[in-house]
Amino acid sequence: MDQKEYKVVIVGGGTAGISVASRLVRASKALKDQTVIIDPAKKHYYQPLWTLVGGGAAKKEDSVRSMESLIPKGVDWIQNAVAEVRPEENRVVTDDGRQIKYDYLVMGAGLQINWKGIKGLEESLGKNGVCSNYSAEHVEYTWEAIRKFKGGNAIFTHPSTPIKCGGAPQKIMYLADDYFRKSGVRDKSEIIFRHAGGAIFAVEKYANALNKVIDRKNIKVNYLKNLVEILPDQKEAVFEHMETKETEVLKYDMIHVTPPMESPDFIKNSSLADKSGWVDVDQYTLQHKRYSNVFGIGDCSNLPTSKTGAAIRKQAPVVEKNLLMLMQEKELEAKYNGYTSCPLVTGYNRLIMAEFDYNLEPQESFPVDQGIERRSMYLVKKELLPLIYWNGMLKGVM
Amino acid sequence: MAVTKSFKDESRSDWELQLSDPEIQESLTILLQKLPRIKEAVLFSERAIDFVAAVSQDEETLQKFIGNAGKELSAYHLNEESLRSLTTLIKKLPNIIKVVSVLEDLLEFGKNVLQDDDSLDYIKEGMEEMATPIFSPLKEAKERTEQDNQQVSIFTLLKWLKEPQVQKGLKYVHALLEVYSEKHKK
Ligand SMILES: Cc1cc2nc3c(=O)[nH]c(=O)nc-3n(C[C@H](O)[C@H](O)[C@H](O)COP(=O)(O)OP(=O)(O)OC[C@H]3O[C@@H](n4cnc5c(N)ncnc54)[C@H](O)[C@@H]3O)c2cc1C
Repeated sequence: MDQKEYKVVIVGGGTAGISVASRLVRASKALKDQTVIIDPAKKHYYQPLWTLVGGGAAKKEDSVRSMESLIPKGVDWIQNAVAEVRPEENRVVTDDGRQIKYDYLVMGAGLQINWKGIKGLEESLGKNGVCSNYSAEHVEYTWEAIRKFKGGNAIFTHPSTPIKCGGAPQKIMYLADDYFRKSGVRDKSEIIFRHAGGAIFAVEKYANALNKVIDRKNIKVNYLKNLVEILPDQKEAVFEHMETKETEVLKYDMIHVTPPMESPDFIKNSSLADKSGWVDVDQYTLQHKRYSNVFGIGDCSNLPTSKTGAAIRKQAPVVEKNLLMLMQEKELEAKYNGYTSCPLVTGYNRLIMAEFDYNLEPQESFPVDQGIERRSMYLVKKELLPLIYWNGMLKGVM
Repeated sequence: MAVTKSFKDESRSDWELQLSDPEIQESLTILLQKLPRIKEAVLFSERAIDFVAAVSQDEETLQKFIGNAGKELSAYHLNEESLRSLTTLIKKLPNIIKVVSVLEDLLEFGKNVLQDDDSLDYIKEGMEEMATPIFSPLKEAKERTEQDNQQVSIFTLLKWLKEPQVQKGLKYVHALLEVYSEKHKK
């Protein structure tokens, strides 16, 4: 662990970091004991399960494993945060001042949630009806808020920044609607969706299907409305129109907030960042545009696709292959096509499995029309995907 | 030639039908267990076939070979037909290798699942949940009955009679009675 120099340094032991590490040591014996993951977190989360945790259909404990148990054999783990990246010197500096030199660097540090970006949110989260599936700490409170809802306004929000899993802000809303119907409070309540963007979903095929779901469920949707403040004492939420800047105040009895998200500060402050702060990579090879021995993967990268774990499943083999080719001084042949997937839960036992690429063309894996709500696809998400994640993806075999 | 039947030739429904056959499922399990050895065998035969392919394309060598050792060869049944099967097999090799490597990853995945207690618990819970869904109507009905102390009047009964589910049930009972009485007559 005192090693100061590694062939490959991987920043972040989340979905991307662990997948790439497993693949690299599986593919090349030479990288064993020559690869390190730097990550301060003791726990690793399978975040896609949080939609179901918030909806009361899964347990939070099934979404978490100790980081230690997931670090692949032959890979070291430095349990610190990276504070600085110096790509000109092939070096990263940890928050306790250690410098680690690398030949190749993989950036997989995820994104940073800006809880402070909405006034009053941090203080009010986790009580009095203010909830968010995006918080590891408070995700279980979403279920409490839904369960205890007795009618009135249930508001769901979608921010103006890029977010992880673009569908998650609305999935929890569909589950809530389903539950309110079963608990008999739906006819005493109004479900309101305030979206800072301009459409329900980027891919036409799935947007059409979702608009039907919204009509059927009688959900009130407004676009270009961005949540800017929570007033917990009055139980009011303040929205701002993205263009006119006009404000609107709505009373809430419960509100599920999807907070704004951004690139981690230490990346924003490094020369690896593009203008918006994300790691600046080639969208096909995932190699950094200026530092050829650096790759970027997952949520922290500027890949023009939806930030999901499913996308990383297709990105990880590309990083693995291209990094090995680079080591052999060969041309980088592996290409990522922008594949991403969003299992759009539309109720308990119903799901539209959206899968698409850079061209926003559907790329469906199953031999059925995935634009239709299906129980089979719900079971895939709930029962199969977690298994594939822990035992296939994080082990570098799927 | 039996060997030449291609994976693509089979329609999807054939595949689905075959996969639901317990015998096929059992063979798949055995196949998975034997996979490492099969892979070795395939790699070995790949090299062997490369060699044979090279030889068989080389007319001159082949002529000499057959001329000199014709008798020995016929002992291995290396006649025209088996050479043709070999060529077909060679063409299919990339596919076979692809299938084998997918199976190899699947095998490792399966092994990981089996060694992972948390995942096994998760599967068990999932199964139990499917048998008793979260919002089981029977469970809910039982709970409501216990809480409900209102009187059921003849008018309530009449209202219930119009419910489509009740109508369906009654029609079923009617049909059942008809069938019974017909059988009785015979
Ligand atoms: C509610 C919710 C629902 C979702 N639903 C889905 C879904 O249905 N399907 C899907 O595919 N995806 C879904 N996602 C998205 C998916 O979880 C993420 O896209 C994926 O986990 C991103 O992986 P990553 O490795 O880039 O980041 P993460 O998995 O977040 O990991 C980042 C890691 O980097 C570490 N790190 C951070 N800063 C530093 C530093 N300075 N130094 C070192 N390490 C650092 C962190 O500790 C963390 O371990 C969902 C996410 C949420 C929150």
